[in-house]
Amino acid sequence: MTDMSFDDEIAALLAFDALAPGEKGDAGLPDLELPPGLADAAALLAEPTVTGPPSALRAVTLARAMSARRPGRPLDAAPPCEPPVAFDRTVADLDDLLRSLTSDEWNARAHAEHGRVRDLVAHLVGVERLVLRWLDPEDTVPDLPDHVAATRPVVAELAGTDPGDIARQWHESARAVAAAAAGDRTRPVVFHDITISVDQLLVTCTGELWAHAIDICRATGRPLPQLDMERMAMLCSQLVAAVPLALAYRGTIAPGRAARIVLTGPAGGAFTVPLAPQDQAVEPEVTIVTDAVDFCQVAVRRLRPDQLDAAIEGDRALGDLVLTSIDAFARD
Amino acid sequence: MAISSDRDALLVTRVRAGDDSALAAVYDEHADLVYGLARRVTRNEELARDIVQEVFAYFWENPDRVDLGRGTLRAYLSVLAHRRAVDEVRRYEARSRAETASAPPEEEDGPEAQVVAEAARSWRGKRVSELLETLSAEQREAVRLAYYEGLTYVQVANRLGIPEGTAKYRLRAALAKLRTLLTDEAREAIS
Repeated sequence: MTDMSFDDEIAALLAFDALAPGEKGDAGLPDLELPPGLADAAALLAEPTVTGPPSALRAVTLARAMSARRPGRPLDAAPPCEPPVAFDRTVADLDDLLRSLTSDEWNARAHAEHGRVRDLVAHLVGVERLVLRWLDPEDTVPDLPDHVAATRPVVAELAGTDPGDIARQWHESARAVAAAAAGDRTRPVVFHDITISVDQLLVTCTGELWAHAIDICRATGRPLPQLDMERMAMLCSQLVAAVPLALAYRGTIAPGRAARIVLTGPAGGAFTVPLAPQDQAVEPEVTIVTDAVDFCQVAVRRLRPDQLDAAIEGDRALGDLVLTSIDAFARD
Repeated sequence: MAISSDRDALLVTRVRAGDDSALAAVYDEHADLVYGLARRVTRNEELARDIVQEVFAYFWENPDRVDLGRGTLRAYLSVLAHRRAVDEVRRYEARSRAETASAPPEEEDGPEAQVVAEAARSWRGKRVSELLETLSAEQREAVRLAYYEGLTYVQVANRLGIPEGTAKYRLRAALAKLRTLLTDEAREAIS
């Protein structure tokens, strides 16, 4: 008889336990029926006698796992669409919404600054006209840092216009924006007081259309509009990539530091972002875990950072700094 | 989706989202246990290393299989490790049986046979033998066939000439009894 410790006996019986639940044999790892009491007891008993694995095994194990499933994206990852596709779909969604509004709903109060739904859509007509000018390399647009003020003349111009006609004008302008954005989408364009790429402009416009669709649905008591996961995935990747620029825009860069942003859900993923433009990502000092859709709602200012359900591990202040920067490019 | 502040839940959430640094954190917390269990069952360092890789790769690819309502992440990984280790022992046992049947009698035992022998020695430990004695003869025979010979329910039933349901019942009843006895002893040992 061998001299056997108690935990060896546990281990031997766990071996039997593994044989019992099914006839799957070596076909693969089975769905586990956890026997909590026994497993926990075995785990506890095993601890004092465990021999640590060789140190080199860590890198080998992690590399093997990464070769089986690429890091960075969720299991049920939605492929991000291109920014022009996201813009087109969001224009179509808002067009559908506007076509369904009743005359009472057109007059519902929808926005603190813009007022009624009809005024909000008139504001969007002004936005699309402005974007068309920004996209035109021959045009010289005057400095218009205030987004709301920049469209007031158009809102005034459309004050007496039938709401259906305002909606039609907006849709035509938005279609014109989509056409004007074709071509080299990396080319720089002015956007109020900053210079961004055409793709980034389309992302910003998509975000604003979604935000105002939320406003209209809230004002009219409708279910809030959802973007499909392809659009959400695109927004997430663009927003995370823009974090260093957002910090710079706000004047709150953290050179030489980085954050890990983990966005849950099919549109999400895991990203390490430097906290200053031109920086390389270093070892993150904070990890932020939150829902991808909620993250996007913060970015379009339809959820406040303090309302965001997020787990922050590490440097809490740095995490808050990142979360309060992600709406830097949002315009209402 | 509500973001849980529970550490296990957060790590699983992060792994699901594709966060490789979360997998590294899980490895750092639990690799000792996974490796220890695998090594104890297989009695083979090389196999234990393979099992560690398999367990963490499996978790990385299948985080949705973790049900934290039914146990901790540590318990989940320990059971996963143990099952893989048992699979290895069974595989080597089967191979060893095949080799024994075809090999010349003077041939020395290979490493696989040693693994099986060590595992069998572990199983034949004093306390385990004593516990087995508490089972009925029918249950004990079913356990012997399932463990020593690695038979499934169906195979046990065929060997004993009894219905599958009866074999399943005997094995489950035996396991339940052993589990109760061992869990009680484990609790005493821990306390």
